[in-house]
Amino acid sequence: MAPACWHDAVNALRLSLPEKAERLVVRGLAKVPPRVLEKVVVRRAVNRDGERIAPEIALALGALNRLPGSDFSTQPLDRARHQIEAEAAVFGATYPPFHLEEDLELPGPAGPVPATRYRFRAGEPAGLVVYFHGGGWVLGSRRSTDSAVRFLAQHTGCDVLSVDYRLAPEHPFPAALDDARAAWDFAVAQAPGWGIDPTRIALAGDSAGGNISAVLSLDLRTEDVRPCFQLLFFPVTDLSRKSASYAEFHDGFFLTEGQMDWYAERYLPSPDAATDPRASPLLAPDLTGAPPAYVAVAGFDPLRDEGLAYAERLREAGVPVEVAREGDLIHAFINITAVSRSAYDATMRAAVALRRGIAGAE
Amino acid sequence: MARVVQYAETGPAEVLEVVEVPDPDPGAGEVLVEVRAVGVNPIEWKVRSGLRPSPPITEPRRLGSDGAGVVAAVGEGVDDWAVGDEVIVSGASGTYATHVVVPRQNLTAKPAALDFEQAAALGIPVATAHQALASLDVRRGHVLVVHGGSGGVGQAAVQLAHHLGARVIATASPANHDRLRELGAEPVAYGEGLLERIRALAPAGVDRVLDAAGTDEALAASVALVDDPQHAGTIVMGAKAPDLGIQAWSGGAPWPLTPEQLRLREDAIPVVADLVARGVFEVEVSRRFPLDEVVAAAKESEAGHTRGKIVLLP
Repeated sequence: MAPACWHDAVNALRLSLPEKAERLVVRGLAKVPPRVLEKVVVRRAVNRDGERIAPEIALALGALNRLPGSDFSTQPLDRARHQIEAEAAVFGATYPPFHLEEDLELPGPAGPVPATRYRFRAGEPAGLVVYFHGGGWVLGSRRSTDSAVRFLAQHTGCDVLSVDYRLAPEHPFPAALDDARAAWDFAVAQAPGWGIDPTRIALAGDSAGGNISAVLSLDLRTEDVRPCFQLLFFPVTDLSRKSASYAEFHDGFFLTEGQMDWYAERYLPSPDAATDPRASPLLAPDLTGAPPAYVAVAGFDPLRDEGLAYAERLREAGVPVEVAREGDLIHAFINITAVSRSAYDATMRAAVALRRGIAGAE
Repeated sequence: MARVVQYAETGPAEVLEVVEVPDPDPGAGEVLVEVRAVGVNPIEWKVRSGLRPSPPITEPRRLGSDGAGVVAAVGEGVDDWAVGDEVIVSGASGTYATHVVVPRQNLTAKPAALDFEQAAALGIPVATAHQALASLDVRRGHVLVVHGGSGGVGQAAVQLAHHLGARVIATASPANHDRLRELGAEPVAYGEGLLERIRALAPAGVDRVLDAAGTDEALAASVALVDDPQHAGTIVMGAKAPDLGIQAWSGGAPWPLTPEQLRLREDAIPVVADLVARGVFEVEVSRRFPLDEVVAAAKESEAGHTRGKIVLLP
């Protein structure tokens, strides 16, 4: 039986009237030439390092910060989970149907794990990307990350397997990691049947998904088949402490300190789990042997410094690592490629690096 | 005319006088704030009385570093503040006044959810607690002991550490134990048997200790509780820190604050103002005095029995 197509589901996602209006307004911004935007937007935040936020993002943040209830951490869980999907539909790019959009249920330790495999066009894929969405381990889904993974699939020529790992608080740490591991095993087993060499499988994810990718990359170091590359978008790498970027961007730049607290409280079964290196990979004693990495951080993001710190530790451990400091962007920029030229370019840089990383795998 | 508090010589609270001065003009990069509330801190009576050394007084000296109010005028080159903005003043000088001119970087936007008294009360205690916890590298899941948990810095440290997800054990007199519980700490009484009481609460050990009490007992317990003396620090008995091998910040510490520590202090105000607005950090304002009664307020502060914060209302 052919599984239902995700694309229809995304288009059928019911947006409320204000959400639809917001989508129109925000999308209109993308059509304004950057030079005009820079003149219109007078007050653009500058961070301590002298980086200035992209004008279209300054505008969008202004709108977002004025919306009542736009902080999903203050909402009931089901409402918050809807909102993150609706936001993705507002700010993400839309795509024509892909050659392949296959919904799967892979065997997981606690039951089937839903996942979707995307292939942009017919022909042999360059590799496979196992993708873990963001959302603080509490929110997010294949749906909320649909636009971002299509972007990666299209611009890398790889298949992307987007995984709906179990979410907290119903399933706290390490349930998401257990499902992620199951997704990896499944990908390795299925790859040949999909026409993919198992040595060309990369892990990728954003935010909490970047955390999962980083941890799984470490877990798999002793396996026969290991990921050939890790792509970490603004990852969470240390839940046990708050770096200086937490203080600098605690509020007003999309991801807030309050939201991170809310996520951590739900994800961690107890506070002392925060110092477990599988929750906070920055605390892992040894990163030697991790796969080559591309770490993208945003200039205006509480998580910026821990992303940079993790990249630095990878480098110290002799891991080839490329750091992309996207100074004019905010957290979760991969989801706003439809409305921000700067976010589009940054996500494109990551896609190119991912393609190169997979192509260079032996 | 503005009214300011000043003193011409060190001495008892009575040396303080309220005088009228012409409205000050903000210079380049400065902002004139109409003060609505002033945060009173112990350092002010310590300097005024001569207990804490300070340069010789050559002209009447004003006092006060913390406050909250409304921007009344901005100087040349100030584009980030406008007349009418509600602001928190921290790390300034001369806030015991109806009007004060401050460099613009000493201002933080006051969230609407905070009233002026709460906003004025953040300042030194919040900056000190935030910086001390960061310098001790207190993490989520740690067991932290705070000596003197019910004072200004103590209450701030207890709440910030609790909010981070640390387990907090704090000392206070029994009358303040309920308060500590409200703030998320497990209270213990100080005095004979302190070390044993703490060890009974944390049989697996203590990760970090912050001393805001400064007693010999607290310092001895601090060193005894941690594996590495650098995992303990004091904000009050800095002079004894080198011998004990513990950290110390301000409070008579023999070394100055590092640029990183100064930055942490600056960071604290907007971060904690946001926590107050979110309802996860409480500011206890317990005594209010009109500016004209500054002598009474100073005596109250010096007596040291007030649990919460003292504010002056110009």
